[in-house]
Amino acid sequence: MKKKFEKGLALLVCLILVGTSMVGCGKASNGTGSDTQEKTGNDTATEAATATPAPDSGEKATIEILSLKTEEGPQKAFDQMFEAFKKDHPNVEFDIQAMSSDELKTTLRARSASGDMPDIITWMKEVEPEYLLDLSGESFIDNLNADSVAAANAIYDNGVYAMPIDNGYIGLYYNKDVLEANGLTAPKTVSELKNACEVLKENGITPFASSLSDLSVPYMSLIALFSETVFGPNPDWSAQRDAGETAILDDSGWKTAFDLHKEFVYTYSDADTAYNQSYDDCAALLANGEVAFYGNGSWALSGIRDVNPDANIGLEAFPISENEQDAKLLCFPDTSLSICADTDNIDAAKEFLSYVASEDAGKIWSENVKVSSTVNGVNVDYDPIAADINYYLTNNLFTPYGDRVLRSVFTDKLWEIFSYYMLDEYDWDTLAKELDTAWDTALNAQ
Amino acid sequence: MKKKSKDNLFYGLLLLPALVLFVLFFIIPVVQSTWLSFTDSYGMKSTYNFVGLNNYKEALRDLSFKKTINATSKYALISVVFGNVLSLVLALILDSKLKLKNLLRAIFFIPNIMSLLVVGYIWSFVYTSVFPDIFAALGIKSFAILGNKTLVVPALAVVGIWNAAGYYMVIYIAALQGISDDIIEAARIDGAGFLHLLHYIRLPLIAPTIFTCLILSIAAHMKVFELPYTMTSGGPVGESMTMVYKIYTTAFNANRNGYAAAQSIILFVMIASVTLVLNFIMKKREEKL
Repeated sequence: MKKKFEKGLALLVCLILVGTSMVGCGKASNGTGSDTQEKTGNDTATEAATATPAPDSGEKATIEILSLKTEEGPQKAFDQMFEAFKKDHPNVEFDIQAMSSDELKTTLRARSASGDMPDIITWMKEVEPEYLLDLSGESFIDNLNADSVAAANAIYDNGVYAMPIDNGYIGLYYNKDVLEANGLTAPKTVSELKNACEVLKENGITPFASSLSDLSVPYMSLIALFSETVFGPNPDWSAQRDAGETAILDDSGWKTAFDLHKEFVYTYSDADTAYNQSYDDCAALLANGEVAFYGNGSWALSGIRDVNPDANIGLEAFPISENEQDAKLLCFPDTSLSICADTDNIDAAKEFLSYVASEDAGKIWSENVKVSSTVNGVNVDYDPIAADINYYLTNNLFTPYGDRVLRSVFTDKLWEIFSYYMLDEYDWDTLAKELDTAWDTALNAQ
Repeated sequence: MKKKSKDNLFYGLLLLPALVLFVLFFIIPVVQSTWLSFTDSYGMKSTYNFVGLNNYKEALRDLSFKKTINATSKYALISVVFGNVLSLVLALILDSKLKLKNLLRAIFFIPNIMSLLVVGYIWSFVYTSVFPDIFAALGIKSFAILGNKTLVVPALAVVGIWNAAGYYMVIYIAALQGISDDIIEAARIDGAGFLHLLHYIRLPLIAPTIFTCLILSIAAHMKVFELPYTMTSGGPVGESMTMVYKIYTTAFNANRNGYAAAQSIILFVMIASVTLVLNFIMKKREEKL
């Protein structure tokens, strides 16, 4: 009798364990009983719109935001915007999580697989449009600079999936004090840049800050350079390459970009210590006047100011020829917000985006993040460097096409092998052929 | 129902929870991953096509993937050989009548309880800040160890060894302590010194453990990811790009899930092949004995 009881108990425990395992593998339910896993983006969007409460209907809504803006400035800006938004929408709460780009990609991939996407994300080109809500026709989109909206969504055949909230740039930062102390001015042509580097080198100053352990640092300069040499003169280059009308191997613009990158960013940085320097180190070198030049983007500005708020710095487009007018600054829509297609809080999410597209929110973002806003009518003098950027914008000396419009398969290969050319592991033909192959693979993979 | 059948059913049901977990968390992912390797699955796209062996063909043609095989093999070879030698030496030291052996055992084991990501960041600091300062203090011209094509993989292997040595040391200590004192004493009476004891008694008796540690360490070091990820980003010029790091970038940077799955299967086949060869050698050796 006792033996039978023990056997029965053992079997019961086993069955409970099996049952628990199976329950753990079930799909997450959204509480409304709807299963969003197998629906298309449009279906879920429509259903959510009819099924979820309006933000001011009395029911509580919590908007979950996954953001790749981990810096202090954007986090402060988000907090201020949430507070301001909640004044008119007391039933809406926010749950924001900031993480690195890699983490966000991984998280979104896992959550899309389990049908559990957040409500709003900072846009990434890796997120397929089937997971995002098309914002075409939403009135708040009209509050934004139309060119920025178009450039932010250039990757899509049609539809508005990314709502750009600021414009970023990648260019050449220079320390005015260092240049002045060495009898130099900001170089506008390649020969002027070369001369400045030689003079600085002779005077014992490393011309360029660069890191070789964090490849994102030199990679940014390369993006700026090929944007100027390839997409500056020919905005349709990608379409022509897709059609097989041109190739990287045959394009002098690509070679010029790589050669200028090698000549300046690699040759005139301190090769002995570049592997020991991080992204933060490079910002500090420029801020402290230990180098004269540093190629990077708008996100590097806060790092420079953190080290030395009074650093006397300027920004310009990389000189790419002997003609000053050929130098075009890479200005592109940077931070963008997207609503996920299967959100349960579609109305609240739209209301929030509508607020983000307002002048008040635009000012909050621009002042805290120290970038230019895409909201029409917002013109915050966020940093002395803004005047340099405005010069390029007002004189139409900018290009909006950086690596944002390039496919992931291609940019992954570019990231992997660009330093091979810089460090003489690859010659131009080998590099260009590999990049052309990667372009074709990317085209087929998409 | 006969008693034997009843018993079999009962034991089968007892095995069920483990079997369910094994199928859910091992068999299904492996089968899915294998299936994925024959598709063009891309990023977050929910649809994909069957592409046969295309991903495998591409991997075998891909110069950068071949380079990762070299880097991984080099790293694993250094880490496995020197790591096991070091672990064995430490085990022999701690198998003696040393007064501080318990404390030393804990100290040697501490690196192993640390995450490799943390270890990577610590050693990154050591290589990029501490060593240059030491060089400067000694009046030697500083150079970037992690930027040197020849030194980068051995430098990563040093970190891998530092992290894992304590783990294998514990296994070796257990094996050494399993040797009967009578055998050691008899050998000593016959006049065997330390080296003779080691060569003719200890090493032959712990040979199965050595093989086990070799297999374990090969599998562990072939799968290294955290160290190149945190310390070198695979550089310089791809010299420290290991296979798992490459698989990660293929899957999460290039978004090519299918191709990354094919690369994973190739890594699995490599590790399985080495393990099988070692097992074969071990069995041959046991048959001889």
